[in-house]
Amino acid sequence: MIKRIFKITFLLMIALSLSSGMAGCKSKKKLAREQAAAEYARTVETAKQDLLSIINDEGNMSLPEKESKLQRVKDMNINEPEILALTRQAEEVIAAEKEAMRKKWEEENKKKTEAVSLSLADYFALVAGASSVENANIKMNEALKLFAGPNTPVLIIISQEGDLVDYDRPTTAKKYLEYLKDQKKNLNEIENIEYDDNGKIKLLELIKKDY
Amino acid sequence: MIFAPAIFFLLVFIPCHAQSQTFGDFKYDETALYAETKQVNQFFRRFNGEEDKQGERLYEKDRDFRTYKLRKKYVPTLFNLESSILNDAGKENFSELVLDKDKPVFLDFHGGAWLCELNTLFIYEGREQELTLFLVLQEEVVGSKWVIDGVYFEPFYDLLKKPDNSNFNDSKFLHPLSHEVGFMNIFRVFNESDSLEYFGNKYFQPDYLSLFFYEIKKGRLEFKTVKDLKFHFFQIDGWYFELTYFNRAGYNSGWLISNLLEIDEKNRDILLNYIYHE
Amino acid sequence: MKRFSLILIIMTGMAFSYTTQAQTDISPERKRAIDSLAMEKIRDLGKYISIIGNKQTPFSEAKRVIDRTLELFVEEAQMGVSSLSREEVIYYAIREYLERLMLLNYDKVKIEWFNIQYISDLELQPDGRYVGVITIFQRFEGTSDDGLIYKDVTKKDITVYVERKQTQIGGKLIGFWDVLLGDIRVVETTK
Repeated sequence: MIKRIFKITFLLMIALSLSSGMAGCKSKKKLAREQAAAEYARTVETAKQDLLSIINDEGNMSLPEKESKLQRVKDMNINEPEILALTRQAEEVIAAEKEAMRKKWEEENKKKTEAVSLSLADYFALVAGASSVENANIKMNEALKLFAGPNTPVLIIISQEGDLVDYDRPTTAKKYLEYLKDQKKNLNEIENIEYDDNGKIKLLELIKKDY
Repeated sequence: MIFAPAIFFLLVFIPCHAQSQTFGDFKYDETALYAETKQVNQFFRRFNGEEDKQGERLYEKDRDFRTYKLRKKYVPTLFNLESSILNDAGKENFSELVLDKDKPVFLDFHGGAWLCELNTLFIYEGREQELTLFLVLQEEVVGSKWVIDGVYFEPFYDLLKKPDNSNFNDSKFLHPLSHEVGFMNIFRVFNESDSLEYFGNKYFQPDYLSLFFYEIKKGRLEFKTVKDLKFHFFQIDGWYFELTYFNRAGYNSGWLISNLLEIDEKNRDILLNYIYHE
Repeated sequence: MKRFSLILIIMTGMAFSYTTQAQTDISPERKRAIDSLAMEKIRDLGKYISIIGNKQTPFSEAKRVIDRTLELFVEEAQMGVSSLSREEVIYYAIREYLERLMLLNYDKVKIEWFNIQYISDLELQPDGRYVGVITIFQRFEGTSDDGLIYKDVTKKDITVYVERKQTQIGGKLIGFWDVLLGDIRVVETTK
């Protein structure tokens, strides 16, 4: 009998411990689920805030920072409609800012080209019109400082028919300046200038004046 | 058509270029420079009506390109008007043919049937001697080039001629049974170098061009300089003309037709032989 | 032989004339631009000759200008000079001609051009280059230091070679017309 009671008690104890363990398991899972959900919600909120900060930024963030933030959000692979919509908006904002920067750079470059063109054109006129070889050489040396080097290529357009552009034989900055000194005439206009990272002329394109 | 000399040049050129340049105490009439047919290329263009009064090239799309009106002004100016060889009747007939309104005749630089006679000086046997080269423009797969077509050099001609077999030759021959004696009699051929040509076949003709190249390669013939040149044109059916450069003042100068002949096929061959000194 | 060759050439000429038309495929506008470029090279040559022939030009400058002048020419280009009194042509290599000019005893050299030039059509050579001839009239006046003046008027027929080439400049493929001067025939005129 006692054996039987022990057996039942033992079985009851086992059943109790099992059920309480099971109940513990169940709540851990639930807890984990709840924690994950909370984590996800936090992630979504962070992403939302990041995207909104990009969209509503009033100049506090640089473009690389915005791009970096956007990329981080994208890497999260959040498939929420709100996040997707905000991501698209943020992309548009960044694209618009890039376009504005590009236009500004072009404008600045154009002004810079004009400024240097004027200066370069002045030098060409001075070298061609120099009263002596010595004066011409002085102006030539000054002009050469605008170039990346004496062998900077100089191209002269002689004709254009649609996309077909014909040039004279390519020359160099030094040779072209010497040509102006010798010939005492300046028959070409500045068409285009390309610069290197140091702001020096790395390619000069001229076009014949009577063309 | 009356070929009054200077008036034609004035009509063709003066309206645009009645200008002169003064260099110090020299006054130069540029009209004469415009009037001069300065290059053979210009002769072709003027003959064909392919350039305007300023010497600017005309193309098919241009209104005056090859028109009768333009050519009628130019062609009379292309003759040497100080020549006694050219007669008015010949010039008129020729001009009528080339300017025919229905079937005008044009010259073609690449059309063949014209050649250059170039007079040069070479050193041969220690002396400066005149040598004439005949050149023609040969079309190639790409482009064209002048090539030497013939030579006339008196020392070659004197030494080696095409034998005259028109009369029956009963003295200079290797008899028909010479082979039976192993041609031992051939020594006689080489003993008399004056009659050597008679022992060639009946078609034998000296090739002076090969001789010319050979002598140069052997170092016995040395080029010194060019002297002058003229051109012979057979391009126009039934006609021959010669083109010469006249370096003189006035409006009738440059490359001009210096000779003009109406010819048929037979006369053409005779004339060619004459030009090539054959 | 000549008759055969002349007939052959007539026939070949007829066969090839249409292809040679097609080969000269430079449009009139491009031809004008090339003509203009060639004329500029010739004017440049005239200016260089004035500098070289002028006794005031320092020796080093004259030598430098000789080198620049030679860049206008193909290698082995020659000057062929004849006069009214002497029909035959005397040949000078261009460098030799320029060096002789430098050593001439003229205090001052003046070269002037008549306002006329004649430019031939461009003809295709077997090597694929185009060749043309430009005729100019030039007045040369050299004044020696004792006041003696030498003058002449010459007609110059200048060979011009034109070739279309391509090269890479700054990563871009550039097509250019390489215009080089060749043999020059100089004839004294009576004008």
